[in-house]
Amino acid sequence: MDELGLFTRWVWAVTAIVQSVLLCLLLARKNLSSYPAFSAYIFMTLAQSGLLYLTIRGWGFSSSVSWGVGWATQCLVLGARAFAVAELCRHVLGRFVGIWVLARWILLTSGAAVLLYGLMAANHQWRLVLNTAELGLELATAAVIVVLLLFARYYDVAVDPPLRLLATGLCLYSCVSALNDAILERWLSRYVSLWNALGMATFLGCMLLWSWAFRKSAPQAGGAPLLLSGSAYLNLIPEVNLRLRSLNEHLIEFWRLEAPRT
Amino acid sequence: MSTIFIFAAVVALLALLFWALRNPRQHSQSGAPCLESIEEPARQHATYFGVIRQAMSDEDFEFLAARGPGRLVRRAHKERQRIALLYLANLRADFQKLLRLARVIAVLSPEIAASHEFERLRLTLRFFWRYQMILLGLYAGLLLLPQLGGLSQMVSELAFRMESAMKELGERAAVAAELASTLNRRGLDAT
Repeated sequence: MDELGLFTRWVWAVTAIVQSVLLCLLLARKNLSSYPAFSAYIFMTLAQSGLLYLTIRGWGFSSSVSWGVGWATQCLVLGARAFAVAELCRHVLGRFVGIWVLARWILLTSGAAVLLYGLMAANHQWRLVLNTAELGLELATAAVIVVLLLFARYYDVAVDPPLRLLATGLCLYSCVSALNDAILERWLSRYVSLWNALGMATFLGCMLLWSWAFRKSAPQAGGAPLLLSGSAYLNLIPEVNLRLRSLNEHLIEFWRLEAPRT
Repeated sequence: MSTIFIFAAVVALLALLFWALRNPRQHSQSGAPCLESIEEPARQHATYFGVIRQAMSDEDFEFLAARGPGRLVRRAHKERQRIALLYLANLRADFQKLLRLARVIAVLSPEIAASHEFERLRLTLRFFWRYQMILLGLYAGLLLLPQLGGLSQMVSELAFRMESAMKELGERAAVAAELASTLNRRGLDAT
């Protein structure tokens, strides 16, 4: 355990406490049923933490057993996080049937594009293949959350404060993790201890943010909004687009007007 | 090099995250944008520009340029610039009003067409790009100031057409919303 350094051990201990508190909050404030995927993600991070503690204590930080357990549990945690992000997207846009169908395609496409970008931009070394995969996934997660929030903003859809904090925490953690992985690829041996500490400190920050977000019962999603009839969209939107185009043409006319004769 | 690419992507994502999170607008209880927000009292463009047209006619400007002192000509030029900016601002306000209406309709529709949504996004980006370029041109003095006669005529016509169109679209959307609400209520009563 001494290999980890005092700071990392302290952060680890405090994070485990905050994780437990957050789980209790989710349970006590009856948020478990509204956020099952997020609750499962927090539970899995806590379980990962406990398992890693036992493994490192038994076999040491640099052992292959610890490496194997670390990455195996990390794959599961990343999968759980993907479900938590999907749950966040559904909470923000799921009520609005029409735009939700469009949003799903856009989110999936942008996530896949950024994952590809991350994998192409990373250094390709066989010993860092898991790091590279994680980097790509983290970037994709962050991109999906950003596109989700941009989409909600574009359509003037309100995002409740707990959801905003949840999104901010998930996105920030993914960004820092991606950056951390990218730096680790370059300065592997010199950076590994700082990589651990930085990753854990960011995770602790996100845990505190989420605990604040779920300190109260999250507001239940309002009933489905009253929807217009299917034909209203088809009748009105082409007309609105036509008028927007005509406004655009007026701007072009602005260029074409002659200067005054002086 | 790869680290720089990743770093750039992360910085861009963080910047977009904070931009997306700033000042949310007011919404209804369901979280959807509400129709009331677009039913602002209509600005009477025609009333502004009727007065402006009279005060700043071509003849006046030509007369000033020929006989007036330089200071007065410069002042008239500034006025023309101010009016051009006012016109641009009104054009933008009309555009935004229509956009808000379109968003409300899209959010409250059970089915939307991606082609219409992407077309609107394209029109929006194009409009704001052109708007910024014209604004820049006007401020930098690179753009020739439009003839006020033609301009005010154009604005008056546009304002009239826009106001009647907005009114019509708003009424139709409100009727559709009311119809949907009545149907929902009937559905609830029946169960």
